[in-house]
Amino acid sequence: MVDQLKPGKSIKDTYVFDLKMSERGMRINRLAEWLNGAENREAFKSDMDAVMDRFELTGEEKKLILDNDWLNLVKAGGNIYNVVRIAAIFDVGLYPLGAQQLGMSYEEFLETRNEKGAT
Amino acid sequence: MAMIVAGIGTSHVPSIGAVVDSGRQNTPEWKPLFDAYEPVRTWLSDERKVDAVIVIYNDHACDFSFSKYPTFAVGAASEYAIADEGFGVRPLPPVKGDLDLSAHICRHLVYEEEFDITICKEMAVEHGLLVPMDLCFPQQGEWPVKVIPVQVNVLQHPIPTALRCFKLGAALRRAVESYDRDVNVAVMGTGGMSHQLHGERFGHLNSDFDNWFLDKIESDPQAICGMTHFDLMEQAGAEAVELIMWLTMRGAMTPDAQRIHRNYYAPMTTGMGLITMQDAA
Repeated sequence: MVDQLKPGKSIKDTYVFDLKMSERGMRINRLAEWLNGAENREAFKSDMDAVMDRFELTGEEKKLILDNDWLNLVKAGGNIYNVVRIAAIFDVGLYPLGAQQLGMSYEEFLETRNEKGAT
Repeated sequence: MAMIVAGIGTSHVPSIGAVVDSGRQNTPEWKPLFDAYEPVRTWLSDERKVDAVIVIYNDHACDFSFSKYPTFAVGAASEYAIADEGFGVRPLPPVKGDLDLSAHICRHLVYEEEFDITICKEMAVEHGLLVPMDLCFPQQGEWPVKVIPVQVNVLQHPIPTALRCFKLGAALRRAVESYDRDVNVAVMGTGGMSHQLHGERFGHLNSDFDNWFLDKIESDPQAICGMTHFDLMEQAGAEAVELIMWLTMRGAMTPDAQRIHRNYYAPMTTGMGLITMQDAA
């Protein structure tokens, strides 16, 4: 069998979303997928602890969300598209979220782009 | 008899949908992208006279969940709702399906091709499908063509191999060509191009790779079929592995199909590519 992911090799600064990561992030991902509905988003905004308890998030996972620690949410198994959903609750868009993962300010990040107006 | 009249490879970057909804297509930042699609739209509607489009796309944990995430899923409904992806529902009419053609494709794939797909009687569609529709078949109160959605898992590994995606395209072609009604069908492979959205490698772009890919999808798709997911992700970014969905389009076209349009624009974090093809006369 050709292993498509080359076991033992890794891509720098990359956390491939495989079944191991998906298992680790199941609570985070279930919560985020539940946010695909306006009523659920309102419920989450009004009582985040209650919703995080309902999805059985660990104390560490809750802290990552409340701290808006997007990079470590990814490392904890949050799929990036689900992390984007959670960030949107805090009015954080994809590019600021990305800048934070890079350890840059949003403005610094935009300077690295070809056409920074295309947001 | 039904025919494949066009193949399209296109990015499905979600910010394009937001630009359409806010009418910003002619701003200096976006005009280079939208201008490239104008001749494509005319070609598809007036010359190729497309009636229905098979859209190969991935659901971004929106209508499907990672708890149950089909490797290949085909829609078999007369209508597909617009999904809420976590940010509200876009102001778009529901997508129209072609139930009879979908049902034929499902039967053909399962009985003749050993592609045991998940068949969806209900499917809400999201940017993976809608952005390519915005670009190639824009709605004006209703969508101008019917849609057969084909969803591929390109997010939760193990995902199908590049070669398997190509073979799905060949199987779809045989499905269309064995359908006894006169329908002009386009096949659209969506996603990419280079981009990575997660980790400290956020913003990784590789325009050299993207242009190589545009060359090869036209002239030598087997070069891409031979790549592992690791190779694709290393070159083009982890989220760019979705480019394997372009191979499904290419597999549905003849080996000597001709390229008609090509464009590339990489303003922010994702290489936005476009290619169209038609079978040689």
